Amino acid sequence: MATTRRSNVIPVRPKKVAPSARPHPSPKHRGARPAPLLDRLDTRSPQFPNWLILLMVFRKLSAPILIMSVLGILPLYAWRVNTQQSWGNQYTQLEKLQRDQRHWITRNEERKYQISENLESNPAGFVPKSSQTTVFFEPAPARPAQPASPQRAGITAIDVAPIGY
Amino acid sequence: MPIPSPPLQDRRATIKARLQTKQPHRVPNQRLRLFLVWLVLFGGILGLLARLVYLQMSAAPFFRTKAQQQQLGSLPERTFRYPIVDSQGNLLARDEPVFRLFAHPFLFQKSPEDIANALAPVLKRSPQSLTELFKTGESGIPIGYRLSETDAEKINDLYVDGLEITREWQRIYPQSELTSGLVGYVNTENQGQSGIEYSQQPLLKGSPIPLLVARDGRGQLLPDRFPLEPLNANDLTLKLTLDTRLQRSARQALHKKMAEYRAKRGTVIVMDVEDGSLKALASEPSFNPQRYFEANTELFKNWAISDLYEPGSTFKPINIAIALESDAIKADSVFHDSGQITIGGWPINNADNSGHGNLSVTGILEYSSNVGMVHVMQRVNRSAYYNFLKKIGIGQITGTDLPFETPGQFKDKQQFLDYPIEAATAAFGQGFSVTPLQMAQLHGAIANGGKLVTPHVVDGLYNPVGKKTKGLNLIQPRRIFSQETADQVRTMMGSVVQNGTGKPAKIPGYRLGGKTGTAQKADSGTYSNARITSFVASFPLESPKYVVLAVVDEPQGNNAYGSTVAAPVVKSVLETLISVEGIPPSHPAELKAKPKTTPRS
Repeated sequence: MATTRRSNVIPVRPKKVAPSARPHPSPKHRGARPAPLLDRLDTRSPQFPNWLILLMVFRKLSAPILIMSVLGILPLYAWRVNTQQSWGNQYTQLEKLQRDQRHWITRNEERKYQISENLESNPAGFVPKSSQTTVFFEPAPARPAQPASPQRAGITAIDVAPIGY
Repeated sequence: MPIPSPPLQDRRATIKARLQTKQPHRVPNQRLRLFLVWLVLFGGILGLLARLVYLQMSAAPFFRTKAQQQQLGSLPERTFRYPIVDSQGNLLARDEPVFRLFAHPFLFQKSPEDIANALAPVLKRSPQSLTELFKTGESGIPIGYRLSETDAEKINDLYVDGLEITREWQRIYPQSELTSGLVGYVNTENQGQSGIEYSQQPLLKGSPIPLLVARDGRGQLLPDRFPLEPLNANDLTLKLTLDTRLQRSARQALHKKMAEYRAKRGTVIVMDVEDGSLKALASEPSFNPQRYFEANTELFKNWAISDLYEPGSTFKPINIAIALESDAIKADSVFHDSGQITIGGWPINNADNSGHGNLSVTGILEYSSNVGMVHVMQRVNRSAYYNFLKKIGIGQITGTDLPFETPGQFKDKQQFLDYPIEAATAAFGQGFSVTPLQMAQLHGAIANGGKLVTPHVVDGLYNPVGKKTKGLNLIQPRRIFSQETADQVRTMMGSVVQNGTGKPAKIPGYRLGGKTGTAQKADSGTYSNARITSFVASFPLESPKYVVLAVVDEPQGNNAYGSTVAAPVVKSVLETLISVEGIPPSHPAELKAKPKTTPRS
């Protein structure tokens, strides 16, 4: 990770350098050269707290998660809308069928009445229900109970020794 | 490391010096600008919060209502009054939605001609007539009445601004005149005016709870907020005890005889004697409930319930039962019928003006002897007789669930006691009046073993799964005769049909008890030549389940008697009853002996 990698960049001047930490010139060059102005900085990465690291990880991951969520939810949303519309259509169809049913029941009853009224004045070969046009069958006499078949005399014992055990 | 050259050293020193000496550039008023930015942002947040609070707290009801108006809609009422069906589920009355169309020309977004052209095929009117109508006003012009649901839907689908459709209810009576005397009708305000529609108005009038459901932009229903329970859970049906098959048979038989004898009116009642439920109650003439405004208003009251008549000889079995129950006579008692008797100075004759000599009680009924009946009832203490008549409900209503019931007329006790002629005329069913329905009720008590049941036509309210949710609170049955007395009288009535005046009602293979009645009609205090003929039967005789009463008012002709006019009507109804209820013959041998009819060509 970028934050934990050591940096090779040497700043022009340290932000804050302790006098004791300033390196001394080697004896070899003492007197021959002036002390260098540039010091090597402590480039170790600072130790970030865990929560900050997690937050930064989340920052990097949140965008793809968001895009994937949107892409995943869109079909769900479409399915939901479509289901509701489909339900509405089906319900409208049901209402229409129920209305037709009510209509046909009423018309059927009206037709029955009209037919019977017409038949009263013009029977056209039809006869009303009456005792003379009804056939009653006498119930058949109860059949005598079948005597139980005599039990076979003496069930012969199977004279074979078990072989399984 | 290479040693820098002196110019380079100088340059570095210069840079170093500059860096060390250069102070950071200070931006003037930086803190103030920062504060201002913060203030703007913070102020914005505060404003948004304040707006949020306002919307959520103060303006919430307004916006909630507005949103509901846009997103929610109530489901239309399914019915205004509950439908009425007979015992077999045949439809007798039902509400149908109809629509009224109004035009508001000031809201038209298209030209009136275009709108008229679009509406004309639906309304079945010419576009010119509609255009003329549009010119008659700016708003509220009625242009269509009683439009069907289909037509209303077509008009809605036109999406024309300036049209308004309102829903109304129309009561449909598919059986028309067949059941109008019982079911009644409703007026244009959907208020019951006669029959069950009037008497059972609270039972018929549903109180539907408006259901709010979600709708989309096109007005189509959405499943959100839709009720979980079935929508038809509260769609109740009022079920009657009536059987339209019997009703039709009764009406046809009545029509036939009324036409033959040019009678003024007639009625047929078929009652289940066990519980008083009416299987048929046909009264003629009747009216078409769909076109009640054309009918004679007198027909709105079913005369079998609202009009009184003197029962005449059909009351004799009741009197015999009273005498037996009072221990005044025995079933085998014998009385002398001289053909004429004078009571309190008033002569009383038999209908045939002849005497029959010594008659048993059964013989008195067979010959329908008035003189014999006077002798029988003279054995009963007059006060006890009066009290018994009161006990069985004479002069009172039956308590039926049909409207406009009239209590019978009956003399006060003092007059009944002081004038012997009162008790004498009551002995053969005159001098007091009952409704035909009450007559059926009294004979029901003979048929069922002595219990007075309440005649009724309403079974109850049933829910869509066929469960009874509400019934009527009727007068409970009460005993008025002992089982023994009822059995004895029933047997005598069987003899009337087998050997007496009731022979025309005989049905081969079956036995029934019956009694004819032919009474003079009272008019302005005196008896006129007009007659009222009747016949009552209990069937089957061995174990009666039904009472059938036919009353024909003012039949014309010298041969108009209970036996010739009313008995054939009852016979015809009983024959249908046998077929409808599947009642097997008690004497099948008679059916086998019957000559075969020639086959129809």
